[in-house]
Amino acid sequence: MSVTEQEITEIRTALKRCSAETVDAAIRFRESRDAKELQTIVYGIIERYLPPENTTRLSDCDDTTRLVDDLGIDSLTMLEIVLSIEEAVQIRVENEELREISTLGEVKSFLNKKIVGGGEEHHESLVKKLDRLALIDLLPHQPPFLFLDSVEIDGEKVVATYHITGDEFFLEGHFRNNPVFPASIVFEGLGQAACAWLYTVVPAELDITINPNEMLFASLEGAHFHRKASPGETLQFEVKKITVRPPLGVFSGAVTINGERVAEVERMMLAFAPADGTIEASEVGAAVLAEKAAAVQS
Amino acid sequence: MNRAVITGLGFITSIGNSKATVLENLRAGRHGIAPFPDWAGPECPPKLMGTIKEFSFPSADFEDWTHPAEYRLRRELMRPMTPNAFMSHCAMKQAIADAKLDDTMVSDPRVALICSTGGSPTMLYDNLQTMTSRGVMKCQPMSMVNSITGSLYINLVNTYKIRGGAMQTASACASTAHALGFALDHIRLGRRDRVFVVGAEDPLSLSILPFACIRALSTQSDPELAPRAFDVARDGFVGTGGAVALVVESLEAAEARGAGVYAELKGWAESSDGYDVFAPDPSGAGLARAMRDAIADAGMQPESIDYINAHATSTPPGDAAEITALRQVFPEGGIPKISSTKSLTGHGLSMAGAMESAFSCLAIKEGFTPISAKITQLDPMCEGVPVVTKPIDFAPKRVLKNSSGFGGANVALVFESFAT
Repeated sequence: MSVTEQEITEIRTALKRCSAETVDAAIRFRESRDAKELQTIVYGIIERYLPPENTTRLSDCDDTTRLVDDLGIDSLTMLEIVLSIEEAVQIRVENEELREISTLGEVKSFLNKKIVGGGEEHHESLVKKLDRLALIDLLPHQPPFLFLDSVEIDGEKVVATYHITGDEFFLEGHFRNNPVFPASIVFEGLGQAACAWLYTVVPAELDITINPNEMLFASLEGAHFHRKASPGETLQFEVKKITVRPPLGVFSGAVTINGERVAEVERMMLAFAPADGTIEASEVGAAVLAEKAAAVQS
Repeated sequence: MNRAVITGLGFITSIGNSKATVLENLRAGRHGIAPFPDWAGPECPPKLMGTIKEFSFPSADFEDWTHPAEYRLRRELMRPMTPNAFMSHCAMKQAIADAKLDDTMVSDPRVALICSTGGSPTMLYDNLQTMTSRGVMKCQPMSMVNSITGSLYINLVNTYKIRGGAMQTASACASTAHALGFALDHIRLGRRDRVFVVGAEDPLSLSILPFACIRALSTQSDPELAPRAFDVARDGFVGTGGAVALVVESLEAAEARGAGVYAELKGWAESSDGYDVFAPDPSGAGLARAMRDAIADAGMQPESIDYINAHATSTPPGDAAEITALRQVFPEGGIPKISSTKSLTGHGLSMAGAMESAFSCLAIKEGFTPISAKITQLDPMCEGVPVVTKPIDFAPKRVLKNSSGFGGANVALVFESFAT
C-alpha cells in the first residue's frame, strides 16, 4: 500500500514535535503495517510527552516500566499519547482497553494485538478476561509453574501474556551466567493458555466437567522455535481451537515478543479427563492416532 | 462594615507588561496601538489593535506560544490554558509579588477569585473544527476546558491553588467592574479577607474582529489617530487583549501584615438601561443612576469626586451617552476632570473595568492624572466637561470609574486615596 502525500502530511501533523525517526517509522508502518515499526513509533510518541523532570530514558526501560509511576505520565498525558498513537497507526482505543494498559509492555502487546488482529471489531461483551489470580483459581498449574499473567478468551481464540521477570527459578541453571527462557517452557505457556480455554469453554458449551487437577500434553506437531526469549521481555501467546473431542482438545498456537515471531505449533493436543475420572494413557494414545488420521484425511 | 483596599496590581497590557512600564507610559501618555498584521488585507476594514508585546499566540497549540521566560509553566499547567488564561497567570504572578503575598495567603480558604473574560474563540474554533471535521475522539483532551468561558477561573484556581471560591462575571464590557463590586461586597460582609480580581482577553482576531460586523470598530489605520474618545472624528473602538489582576483586601488583613496600599475601594453600584441589546440608552439615565448610587455608597457627594476614568470607548453613541449621563450627576460647571485611557490602550472588553481601575489606583498612588490621548478636536458635546487632553499637574484623591457593557449594563466604582 503506497502512502499519499496527504497521509504523510497528516502523520507529520499528528506526530508534531516527535523525532524524525518516529515520523519515518510511522510512514513506513502506514505502507507495510509491519509490527516491527511499532516500538519506534510508540517510544517516540511517549518520549515527546515525557515530563521534562523525568530522568528515565526509554532505552533503559523494559516492559514492566509503569507509565504513571515510573515515567510520571498523568492520565491526561496518557490520553494525548493515545491520540497520537491512534493517528499514527490508525487504530481506535476504547476506554475499557485504555484502563487495562499501565506498563510499556502492555502498550506494545496491546498494539500488536490490534495490528496483527487486523483491527477487526471486538465484541467486548463476549471476551472473557482472566488475570493471574483468576488463573490460579482456574488452572491446575500453580506458581512457580504458572506461566501466564493474563488471558483473554474470545470465541475460539485465546490471547495470553507472560512477562519474564528474570526471577524464574530455572533461569539460574538455564544457562550458566546466561539466563535464557527455555523453549520448552514457552510451549508450556502455550499449553497453559489452551488449558484456560478448555476449563472455561468446555464445561459451559459442551456440558462436560473436567478434572480440575490434571491436564496433559498429548502431542506437539509442527513445532518451531525462531527466537530466544530473555528476562524483561513479554511473551504473547495466541492459541486457536481446532477441534475438541474428549479426551482431546486440539489447538494451533503462536508466540511473539513485540510482534516478532518466537515460536509456533501447528497442532497441539491436550488430554483431559472428566471431573470424576483420570486420564488413561491407552485411551489418549488411540485418540491421538484417530486425530492424526482425521487430519491427514482432511 | 469592613473596608477594602487595593494592595497588589499586575499587568499584561498593550502599554506594558509590568507595573513600572505601564506607569511610565500612562504618565507620558504613550499609547500601545499598532497595525495588526492579520488584518492587513482589504477584506478586513479594521486595521489596529492594542497589541501585546513579548507574547505571541500563533496557533491554538500552546507549544507554539512565546512569552517571557519568567512565566514558564509546567506542561500540565500550560495544557489547559487559553491565551487569556496564560496572560492572567502572568498578571496574577505580578500582583501576588506586588502585594507581597506568600503561598499560604493565596491558598487560604478566606481568599476568593472573581474574574472575567469573553472566553477564547480561537481555542473554541480550533477545537470545534477538529470535532466537526474529524470527529470528537480526535479532539485534544483539554479542548473541553479551554473551549469554555470558565477556562479562566478553572486555570487560575488550579495554578494558584485558590481555595475560597472562584467564579466569572458576565456583563460584557462591564464584567470586571462587576467583579470588583462583588469583591468589595465580599470584604464588607466579612465573607472573605482577600479577593483576586482578574480580567483577560485574547489579543487575537477571533476575539475582537466580530465587533466589526456591528460597525463598532474604528477603521482608522493610523495608530496616532485612533482610538480617540471624545474627539469629534472618533469612529469606533480599537480592541485589545491582555490581562490585569488586582488584589482587593480587607483593611484589617492588609494592616495586620503591613501591606502597602494603592487606594481604598470606597463604593460601587450597578444599573441596567433596559433599553437595547447593543446601544446604550442615549439619555444616559442608567449610567447616571449607577454613578449616583456608587458615590452615595462611598459616603460621598458628587463634588467630592476629582477625576473620572471614563468608560468612553471612542464609539460615537457610547461616548455621547456617557457625557449626557455626567451632566445628570454633576452640577453645571462642577464636572470633574475626565479622561478615557482606552485611547492609549484600546478597549479591553471584559478586562476594561479591571485594567482601568488598576490605572486609577496608580494615578491615586503616584499622584498624576492620565490623559485622554489623540484629541485634535474635542466633540462640541463635551463643552463644559474638563476632558484632560494634555498632561497636567494634578493628583486625584477620589476617582470615579465607569464601565458599561452590551445590554446596557452599567457599573460605577469609587476609589479614594488611602492615608495611613
